[in-house]
Amino acid sequence: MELVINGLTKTYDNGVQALKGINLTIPQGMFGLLGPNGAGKSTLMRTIATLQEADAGSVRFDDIDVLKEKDKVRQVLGYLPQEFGVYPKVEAIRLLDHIAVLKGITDNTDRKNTVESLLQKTNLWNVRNKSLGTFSGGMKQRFGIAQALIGDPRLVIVDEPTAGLDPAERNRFLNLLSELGEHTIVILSTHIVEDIKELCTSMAIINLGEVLFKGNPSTSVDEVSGKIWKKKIRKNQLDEFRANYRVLSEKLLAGSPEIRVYSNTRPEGFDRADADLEDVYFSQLTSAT
Amino acid sequence: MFWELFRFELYYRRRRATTYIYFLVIFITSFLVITGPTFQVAGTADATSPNSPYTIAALMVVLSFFFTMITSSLVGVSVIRDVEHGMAPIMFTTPIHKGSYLFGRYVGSLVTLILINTGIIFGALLAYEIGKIIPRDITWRTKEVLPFDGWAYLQPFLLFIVSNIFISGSLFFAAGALARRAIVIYSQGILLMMLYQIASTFYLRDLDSQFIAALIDPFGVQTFVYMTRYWTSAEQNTQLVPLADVLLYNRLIWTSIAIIFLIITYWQFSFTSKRGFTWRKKQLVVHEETVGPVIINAPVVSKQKSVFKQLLSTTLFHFRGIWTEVPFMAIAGSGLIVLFVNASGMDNMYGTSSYPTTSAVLTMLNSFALFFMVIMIFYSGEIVWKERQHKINSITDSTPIHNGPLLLSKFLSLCLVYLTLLVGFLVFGIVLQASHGYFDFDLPAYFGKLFGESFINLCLLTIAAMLIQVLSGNKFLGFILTVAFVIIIQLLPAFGIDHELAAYTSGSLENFSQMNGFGPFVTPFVWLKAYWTSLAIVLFVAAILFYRRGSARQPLTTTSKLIGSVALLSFIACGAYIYYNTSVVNHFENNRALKVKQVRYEKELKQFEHIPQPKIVAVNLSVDLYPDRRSFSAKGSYWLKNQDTVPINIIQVQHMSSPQLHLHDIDFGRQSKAIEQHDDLGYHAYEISTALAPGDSLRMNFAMEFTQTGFRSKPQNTDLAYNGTFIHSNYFPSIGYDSQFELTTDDDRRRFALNPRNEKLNTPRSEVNLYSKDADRVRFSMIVSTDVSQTPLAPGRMEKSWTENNRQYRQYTTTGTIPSFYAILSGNYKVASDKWNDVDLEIYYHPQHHFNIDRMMQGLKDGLDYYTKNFGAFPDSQIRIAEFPRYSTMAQSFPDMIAFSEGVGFILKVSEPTKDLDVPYYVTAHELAHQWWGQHVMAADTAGNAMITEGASQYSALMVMNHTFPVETMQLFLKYELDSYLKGRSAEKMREVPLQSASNQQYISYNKSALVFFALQDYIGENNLNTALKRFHTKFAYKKPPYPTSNDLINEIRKVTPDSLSYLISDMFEHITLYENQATEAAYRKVTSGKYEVTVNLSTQKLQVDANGHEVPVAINDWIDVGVYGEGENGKLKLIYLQKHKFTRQKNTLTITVNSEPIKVGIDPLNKLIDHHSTDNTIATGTIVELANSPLGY
Repeated sequence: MELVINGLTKTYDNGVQALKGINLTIPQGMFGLLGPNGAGKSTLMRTIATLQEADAGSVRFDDIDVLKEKDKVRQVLGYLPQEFGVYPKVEAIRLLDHIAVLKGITDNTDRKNTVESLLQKTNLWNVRNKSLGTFSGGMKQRFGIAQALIGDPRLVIVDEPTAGLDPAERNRFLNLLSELGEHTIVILSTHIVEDIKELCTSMAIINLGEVLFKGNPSTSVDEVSGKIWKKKIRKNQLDEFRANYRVLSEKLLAGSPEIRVYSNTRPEGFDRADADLEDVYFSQLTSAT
Repeated sequence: MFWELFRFELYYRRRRATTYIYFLVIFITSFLVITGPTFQVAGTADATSPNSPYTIAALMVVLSFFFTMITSSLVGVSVIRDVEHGMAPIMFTTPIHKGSYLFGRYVGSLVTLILINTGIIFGALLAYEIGKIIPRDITWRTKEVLPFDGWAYLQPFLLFIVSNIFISGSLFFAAGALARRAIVIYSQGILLMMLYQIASTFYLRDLDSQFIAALIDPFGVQTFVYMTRYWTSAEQNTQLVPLADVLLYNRLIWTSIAIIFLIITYWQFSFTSKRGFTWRKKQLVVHEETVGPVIINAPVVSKQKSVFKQLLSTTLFHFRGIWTEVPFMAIAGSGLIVLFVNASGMDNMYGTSSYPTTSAVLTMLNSFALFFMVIMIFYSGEIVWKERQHKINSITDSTPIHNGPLLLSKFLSLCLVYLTLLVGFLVFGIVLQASHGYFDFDLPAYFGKLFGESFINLCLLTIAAMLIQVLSGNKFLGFILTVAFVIIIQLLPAFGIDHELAAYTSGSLENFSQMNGFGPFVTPFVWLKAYWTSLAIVLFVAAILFYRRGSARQPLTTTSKLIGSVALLSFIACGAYIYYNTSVVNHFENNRALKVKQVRYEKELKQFEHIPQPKIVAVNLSVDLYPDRRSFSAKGSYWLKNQDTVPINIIQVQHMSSPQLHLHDIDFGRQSKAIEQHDDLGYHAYEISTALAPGDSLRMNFAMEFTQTGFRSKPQNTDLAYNGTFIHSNYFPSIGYDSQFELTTDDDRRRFALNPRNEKLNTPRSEVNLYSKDADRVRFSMIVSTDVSQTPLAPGRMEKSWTENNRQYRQYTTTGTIPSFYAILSGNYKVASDKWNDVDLEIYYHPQHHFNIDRMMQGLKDGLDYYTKNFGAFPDSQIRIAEFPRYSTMAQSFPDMIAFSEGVGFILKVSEPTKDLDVPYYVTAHELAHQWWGQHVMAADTAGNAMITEGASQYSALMVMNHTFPVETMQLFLKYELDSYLKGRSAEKMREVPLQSASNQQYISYNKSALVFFALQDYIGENNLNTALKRFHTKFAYKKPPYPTSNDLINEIRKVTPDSLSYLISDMFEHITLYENQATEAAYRKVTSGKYEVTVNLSTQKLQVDANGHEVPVAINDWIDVGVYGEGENGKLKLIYLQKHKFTRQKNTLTITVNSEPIKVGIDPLNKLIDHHSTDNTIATGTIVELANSPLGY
């Protein structure tokens, strides 16, 4: 089971080139798609989720031509959009039931079982008869995953699911996702590196519509390991360092900036830093520009 | 800070395209309305200028009502904007004072709105400037445009438009600021609309309700109508509506309400949270322990899906969604309130309600139609955009459901909404009927109108609206386009497109008649609905095709394609079949084509008008009616006699120009040949070989068929009915050119370059009677047959009655001679019989309409009593009343037969003798009087004929009523007559004429006649007036020409009028006279016990209409009633003094001594004279102060 994306290109009417020939092969399991805001993640996700047309290229899911046979894709798709709303006055169980009908589960018993078990799994059982307008962000997001999982999908797309969640909710949500990858392809798009680190076995980094990197999160960390250096500086030195080094990131640490730079050798005055996925991410982004 | 926000609001509006679009919309609407072919917003009167102050004001009032939509979208959302754009947290945390914020926004948008609305003024100015030179069919091309008067625009602009903007704007603003949801603003608009609806239905009720209507209408439309209801053209051209009386109260009430709302808004509005009229939901606080990884195995389900179940479940989901929507409940609730208000009074005549027959209930239920329209437009949009609106579309769009079931479920949920409401109405209607003790539920009528007509139309419109929404890609654009669509399909006839195949949703069951059911309307209705339903399915498939899932459309499934193709074929097939029936088998003529035909008739044949023609002296007909086919065939013969002085060798035969009528085998008993044949105009001229010498007669035989084939486009022929056929003598051939076929209205004649036609007014033709120019009086006999289940009726004594071949035959012969004006009726009747002396009285009525038979019978008897005693003998041995279906609501008198519509007297509920007018009794008496004034005495066909036929009949009926009814009822009746007269003269299209010249103006011949004759008999005495009428009858009844004109009647009346009152003749008949009587001040004192002295100031003014249509004061030297009321039984008022006093000045002070304590005093207290303001004649109770010993010092 795999999803093969080939030369996928999309330019919006306003001239923004969202996808510039994306090539990706996504295997079974949890796949992380990392990129900053505006990288083209959502366009890619929406395209795979049959909601967006591409200008060129192809997407194949096993023997399904995703761009053409939308119907077939929708049969096996579970999609949690980046932003979605609910009918505020409708109860959780009723809306879930409604979406199950839209997904084609018309057998009453089947549907009842599906809906109830998903509500239990997503820990929404106790609030199933509450209207969705009263849900907190995390509850809504869990409702989102519950609806995405209706009908045992083989292709699950979750677009920026943890944005805006508090740490506890985020954990709860990631835990929910973690067991999904076993029999399905799960594509998780995010701009939060931690999400990928915790969940994904393979990943890709995209920016400005291009794939900058693809591979395994841990091996990718290995690749940059030993090439990341850190240093505390004064604020007015920032421009100077930027000009002279390949600065990956700057963070404030107790009020004064600490910068991390990428370098094969240790630069003067820098300490070695433990490489992590974030460094991979930023090194990819900076090398591209 | 206020100015800052105010300026920002103006700046913001200035940069928005919508501001200019709205201005343009208003500008163009105003321009188009004035230059349009249907400019009838106001001032249809010929003498009213197209830019009279009245017309301009009316235009503004009506447009202001329509453009409330713009107010709601501008003012209401000015606060919501911040919330909807997510700016609220930023705006609300700035240190702005909330007053500045709110009122800056408010005043800013108000000023913008006022500027936008000036579009009406500019549009109107441009229209009047260039209206006459642009190539549009404007109605006022030949009329005089008054010189520009700025105040005529500015005054109504301030009075109606600015105040309406302020009123509705404040309410919308309050709703927007407090609820912060756009939808609440719109629902509030609905509430205003509801009030408007209630006001407009109130206005159509009894007289007192009109004032209430004028008071409560939030837009001031009814107020305007009420204030100007009696305005004549002259007044319309010169007067502005003053901010006084009820208009002042109305504006005060609504301005106060608006201000209260603004105060509440200021007080309740808070930057921090929503408050006021919203229902806040607390967010759930749920304590959840952090759970470890869970295994999610969604149950595996069978992928075997059932589209049907999918459809059902989704439909119910959306259905539930709509019913729980607050705005929906608001709209439906408002509609229901209107229904309940309307249910409290069924349609009425003279303030008397009708029984809740199913058609009356259906008419009442129809007041929900506007709300249905709102629901349809609004929720078609809401349902199409539901997912997008709630941003759940990325989830639902990526589900595998097809567009077909997805959209279909949305459509079906709306259908279900309509159905539940309609079922509710059905139950409501039936309960309402039962609660009135009325149990003839006529379920077919309910089902036909509610589920056949309303439901199907709503479904058809919903599909169109959904497609419009899908194609427009934007909900609000969709709303506007849908509204435009609905308006356009209704306006098509105004643009000359009046074939029913062209107007989406066309086809109506029209009025349900208890006699004839839906009669001739059913077949075209069924076919048209099949035709439109097929098209709707095609449109629906188009909606499926264009509906976007994500960013793309979805290809049609084979099923959709198949259904679409079948529907398309069915659409074409139904269309072809309808076209074949309406335009091939039957001839289709639109309105214009009919007029063109009339013009041709006049242009081609008028030349033959004065060729001497013989007169019909005897009519023998044998008519076979086929009610089941709505057809008849006839054989007939006329005896034609040459009454001229020259031999006649050309005979012109004219028949109704209808392709269904086939006249043939015309034979004059001698050689003849056709010299002119105009089949389409129904005109044939024959030259007979041997001329008909003066004094000689010949017999003309003919045969004819009137055949309905297939079905026709509207209007349907309702004369021939399955049950309740009612055909006039005009179905049978006449002799000579008939000027009745010519175009009549001046507007039409002008449009077709014909000279105005008023020879009737100028040339007295007392040689010709009102009924027929080709006959004087005729001998008449007829054999008429119909289906065995029905009774065939015609004038005359029934000689024979038999059945043969399952048909019912009757033979009728009249005793003497009759006017050549007769009718044939046939229906499944029940008969009530009675006798008055030797006269058989029969009422043939529909079995369900038994309520008022006794009253009608009594009307016949009392009428016969009075008329034979006072006017002349009744020579016939029978008088029949026969009911016909409600397609026209009138009664008509034929020789010894009265045709009476089921919509007039049969279903009126006369329960309280003092409050309800016994309309069936009155109408019967009036129609019976036509036997004397019409049948016996035939008026000449000159101006003023109505004073004889209708005037004398009104008087006769009034006298019969006066001897039966309580005084209060008579006064009530006359009050309605006064109101109708004053309204009628204000709506006069040409120019009001004095009673002596009245011919077709109903407000003169009926309403004014009643007032004038009632007053006249009060002044000169009933007996004297009756003597005059009796002499008039004796002189002219059954006589040959010359026929009497109004002068002949006036001469008789003059003979019985004392010299002191002779001014009345001139005032009442020869001039248009109105009074302005008023009691201004009064006081009384006790002289001795049982003696009271009342002193009263009375003002009286007599006005007459001059040659220019202006009312000018004339010298007064009149006898007028002065009355004093004291306390009578049960605390009611009782006249304790009523005397005629002579008035010679405008201001008068009178002192009257009465025997009991006076409560009210006044001039003409019983409203015998025609008075503009009939309510100020007396000074009401309480205004008289008891002054100890001092008389009033003037």
